[in-house]
Amino acid sequence: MPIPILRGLPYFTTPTRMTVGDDVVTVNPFQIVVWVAVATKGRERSARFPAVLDTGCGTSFIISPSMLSKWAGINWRSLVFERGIERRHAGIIVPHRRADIWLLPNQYDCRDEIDPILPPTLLELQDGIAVFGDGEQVGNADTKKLVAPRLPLLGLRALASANLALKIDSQNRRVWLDQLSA
Amino acid sequence: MIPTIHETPPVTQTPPPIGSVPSADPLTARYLAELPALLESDYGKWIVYTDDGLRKIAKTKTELYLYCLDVLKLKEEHFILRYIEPDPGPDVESMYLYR
Repeated sequence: MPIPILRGLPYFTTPTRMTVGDDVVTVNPFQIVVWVAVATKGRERSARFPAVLDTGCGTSFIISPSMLSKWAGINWRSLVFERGIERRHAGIIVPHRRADIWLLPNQYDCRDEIDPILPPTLLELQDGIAVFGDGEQVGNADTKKLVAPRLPLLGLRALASANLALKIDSQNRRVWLDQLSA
Repeated sequence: MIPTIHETPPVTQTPPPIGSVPSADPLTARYLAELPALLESDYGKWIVYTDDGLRKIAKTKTELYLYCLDVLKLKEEHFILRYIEPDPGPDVESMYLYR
């Protein structure tokens, strides 16, 4: 029996705004936004924050150091360097940090409210998360030049090990995500 | 004016076969060397390699993660965890488009 995670999650054709802590962020048209939290050391869960579900993103998760700090309460330096992951952006090797992602279920037909009953789903990432931007040197000297996405990105690769089925209903602009088996 | 459609240029480089990508990290290199056999025996499971030579397979990453931290008392930097799936090889393009 599939376990629902996202149920009728809406996305919009016009810019919208969301509140994250003390921040108000703009979501661009047609961006699918989900709520996530960062998992560290196999069990700890950060505060929740939004991320764009981006099927074109070539890595599991990308976030800037400032968003990771402000929204998740995590200093990127506290996350262990993920050895052997050699992905590039703009020709620069981007270090990845060991962490996983909790994906939080939405309330049916709502984007910004979390379902209080359904449990979150842990997305176990083999490549960890990419943290860069804000002019911070997160690896070699060139990493200072890296520009982070405007909002965190959750890539399709993050869904790989959780056996998930994603459905995008473009007519009604709703997203459905089920876990096919535990 | 009708835009010209260009054919996709032929790929001149053959992708490296699974497991052939060298890695500077010895644990990752070991994983890639063993990957063809792992895909046959344990596709979709997780594997951990530790600096002191241990290798263990389980259904979830969390199980291995906590085993290393709580049972083996290892520091996080002394092991790697990998999901057993085909290796995509080295990146040739940017990992994402700016949004």
